[in-house]
Amino acid sequence: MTDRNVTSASPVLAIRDLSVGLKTRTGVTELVRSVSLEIRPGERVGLVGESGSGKSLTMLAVMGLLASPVTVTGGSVTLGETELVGAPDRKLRALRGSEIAMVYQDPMTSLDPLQRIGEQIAEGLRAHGAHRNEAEERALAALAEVQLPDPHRLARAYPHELSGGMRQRVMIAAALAGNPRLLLADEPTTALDVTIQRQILSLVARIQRARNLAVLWVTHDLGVAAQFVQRLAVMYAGRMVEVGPTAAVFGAPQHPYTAALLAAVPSTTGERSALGQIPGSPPEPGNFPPGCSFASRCRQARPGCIRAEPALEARGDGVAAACFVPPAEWQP
Amino acid sequence: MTVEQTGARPVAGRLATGSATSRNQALVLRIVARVGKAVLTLVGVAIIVFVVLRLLPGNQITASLGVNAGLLTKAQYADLAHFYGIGKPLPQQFAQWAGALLHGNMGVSDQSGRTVTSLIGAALPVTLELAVAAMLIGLVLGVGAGAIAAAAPGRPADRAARVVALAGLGVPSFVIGSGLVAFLAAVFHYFPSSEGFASLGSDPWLNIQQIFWPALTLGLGIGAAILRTTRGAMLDVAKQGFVRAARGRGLQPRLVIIKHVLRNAMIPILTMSGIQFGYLLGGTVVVEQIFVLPGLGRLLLTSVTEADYAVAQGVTLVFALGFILVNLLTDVLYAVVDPRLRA
Amino acid sequence: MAQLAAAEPLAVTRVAASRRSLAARLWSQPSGRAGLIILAIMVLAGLASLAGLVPDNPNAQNPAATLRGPSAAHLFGTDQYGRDVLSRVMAGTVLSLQTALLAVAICAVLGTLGGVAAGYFGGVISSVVTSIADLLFAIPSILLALAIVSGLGAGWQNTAIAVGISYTPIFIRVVRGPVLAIRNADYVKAAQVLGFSRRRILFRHVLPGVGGILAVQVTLALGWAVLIEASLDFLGLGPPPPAATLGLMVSDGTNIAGIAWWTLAFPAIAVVLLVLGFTLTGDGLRDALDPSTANS
Repeated sequence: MTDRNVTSASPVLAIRDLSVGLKTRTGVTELVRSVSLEIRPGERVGLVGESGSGKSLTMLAVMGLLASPVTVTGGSVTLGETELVGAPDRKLRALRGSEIAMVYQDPMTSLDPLQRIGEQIAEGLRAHGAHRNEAEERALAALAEVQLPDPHRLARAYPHELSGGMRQRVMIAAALAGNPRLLLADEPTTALDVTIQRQILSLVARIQRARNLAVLWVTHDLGVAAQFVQRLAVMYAGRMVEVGPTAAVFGAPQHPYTAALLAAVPSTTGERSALGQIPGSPPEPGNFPPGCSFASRCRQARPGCIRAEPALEARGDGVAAACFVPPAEWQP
Repeated sequence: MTVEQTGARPVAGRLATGSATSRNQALVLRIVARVGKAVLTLVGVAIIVFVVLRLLPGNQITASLGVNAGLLTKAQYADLAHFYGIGKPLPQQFAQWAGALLHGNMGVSDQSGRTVTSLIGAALPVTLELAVAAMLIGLVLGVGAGAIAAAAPGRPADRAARVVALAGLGVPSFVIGSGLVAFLAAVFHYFPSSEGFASLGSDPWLNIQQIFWPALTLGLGIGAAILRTTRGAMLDVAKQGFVRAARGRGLQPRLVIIKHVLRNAMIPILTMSGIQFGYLLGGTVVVEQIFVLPGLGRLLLTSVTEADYAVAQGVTLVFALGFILVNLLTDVLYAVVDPRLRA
Repeated sequence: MAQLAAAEPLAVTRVAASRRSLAARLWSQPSGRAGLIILAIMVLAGLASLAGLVPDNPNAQNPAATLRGPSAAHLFGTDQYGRDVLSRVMAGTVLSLQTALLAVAICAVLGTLGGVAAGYFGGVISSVVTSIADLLFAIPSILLALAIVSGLGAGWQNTAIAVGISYTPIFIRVVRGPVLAIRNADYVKAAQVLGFSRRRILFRHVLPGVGGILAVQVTLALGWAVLIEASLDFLGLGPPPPAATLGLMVSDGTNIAGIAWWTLAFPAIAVVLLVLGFTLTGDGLRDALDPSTANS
């Protein structure tokens, strides 16, 4: 899935060694550990992982929307030239909505039930200096762009009058109305029907291409990742374990976890076989084992795997993986 | 009205609104149902009070004559009983009273000879003024302090607010009132109750002074409860996704709090306000006694202890009516605040 | 302000909280701890009074020592009849506690019966019960108490009856909700399908789920009962003099507060401590039972 719009210009978003933790009376519980990722202008990057792997927290940390006691404990996040970690709230507010926008997972609770749809979009635009009429016009335009019928009536409607799929389109409209450079999407289609899911995905893809918008799309669904993203990052237990172009990662996974995830996807072709499963469950935050976090569930684990944590290393073809055991030595 | 689908791309989903006229019809029906229920409740209250007062041992005769009632001859007792209407079957007494009530006649006070209506008419404005002032003080203090506390949970302002709220809840109004009266008298030699009660028209400044302190007494208790509700409700709302989404669009925190958090917290606040109004009515009995206000509360107290049933029934009905009206009002306000309740 | 933006659900902290016992959690809550301590003090004082461990007879008048301020001989001073205020406050505490306990016993039993009936059986029974509850609720509690007390006579049991009946509708409402929710829960439906008897379902499935809420409500009701009972005494509708009720003491004390502040202050503080003790404990219980509603 090549895309002419992707350039090798400086990245829109650069996450470097970002760590997020939970501050308790006794110390800090690590939730996201030293995660690094770059997104270039106009690029679609996917972030994949199980629940609890830290992918949503990573995105919230980028937006500066973490709520105490969860907080960034280290690393940096730069949007273009601007450092986001530790930036004053005033600066972050200026960026949110206008440069970087987010769409959330649950459309049912992401809209204020007491306020009309149009107003909720317009108020965001006014917060960035638009006049009342201009904000209204742009809100209507945004609703039209996400293919919602009759934007005028919709703008005056309340959230409870809309279906889940329509609400998610409204969220996307609200996110895009400010014309951001970067769109963060936290599993926006997980709560929706599969057919609606495809519609939303194709809608976002079309808009993304038209605007050369950079997108970070979090999902736990590999199928969505395969359809939509150009580069894929895999997270496990708060760490980045593999990252690279989608085709390369799918074709030749460099990390046992990625391979296991791919093997767990049921196949509609080929022979019938038992559903691949990964035995055990991910470690809980605060209980990360020493060494590689995946070692206890890994078919390829060696004694050295629990002694030290593997770092992300380039494996060629733009792929990087954090594993001591190269695929050539894997056992089936 | 289904929404037309545009272009070649069918979009699933339509606005779930019915026609405007059918929505209005539903609303009117709901209002009628509410009013009907209110009337029924009022009737129920009237019956209960009537029965309770009649069933208790002792009646107007023993109340006005006390021990001497035992000295009456049978004939004298029968005469008095006839005069007071004792002895007739209860339903008949009730029907008599209810009938007169519907004609606007609430009977005559046994003790003073004045009509119940005139007694209530004189006392109502006082209690009304007191109640409104107390609710205002309670709402302003409660919502204001509650919002401040919710904006920075765990910080000093929040802790202070919660301690004050606890004091307001834990200290009974008769303690606050008595303490206030004693304090003002002892320290400032200030006795606003010593002169006769001044109505708002005759001497506004004295009237305000005489209403302020009892209203403050009641308002502190109300404010404490509303503070806790406001704080809790706002903290709950703040956890909702749309608050984060609003922040994610770059809105200023103050705007987020007022437009999104506080508005969504209004429903529990409204509910608590309605409940507090109920307690308020009972509280007027105590506070009017302490601050010597000629209101309904005081009237109720004297009428019940003197077995002046007509007055007691009348005042109870007025209280119940007030409570029911406030409930109706809060229901209407619910629909105003929350569009989901209008469908 | 950052707190007002949503955060990830903190499953970590919640898992840790549920592993400690209820008592430990109640103690660890500042409100629960304060409430329990206050209550312990007041109950001890009351028990001491019952056992006769008072400095002086609460009713012993001493014309020679009227209106003396707090001293070594009389820690809380004496009133206008020379009676020891500390002893009277302790006796008043006992009266308040026993009245509140009887009142809450009445409304808890009646209210739970009504609430469970309404929630479990639904239909007509529920309508009738809730209508009665609404009616009782619409009548100001003071009036109900006034009527009952002035009709039945003054005595702490009658005060308790009056207070108890007034609070019943609240118990009905509080109990009915959870019973309704539990009754419609899947595990109860499963029990019905399996053919368990109604009584068994009621006792082994429905009631335990309501237990926590009941405990919280009983505690809060006790605080409220003390408050109303003291107010009634204040108005002169409780046990008549020379009974040592806290409300009467406050009433008397207000008149002479200028010259003898201790006759007003100490009974007033006793009432406040009783009410606060129950309210704080009730709050602590509520937070301990459901950490998601905790106020921090």
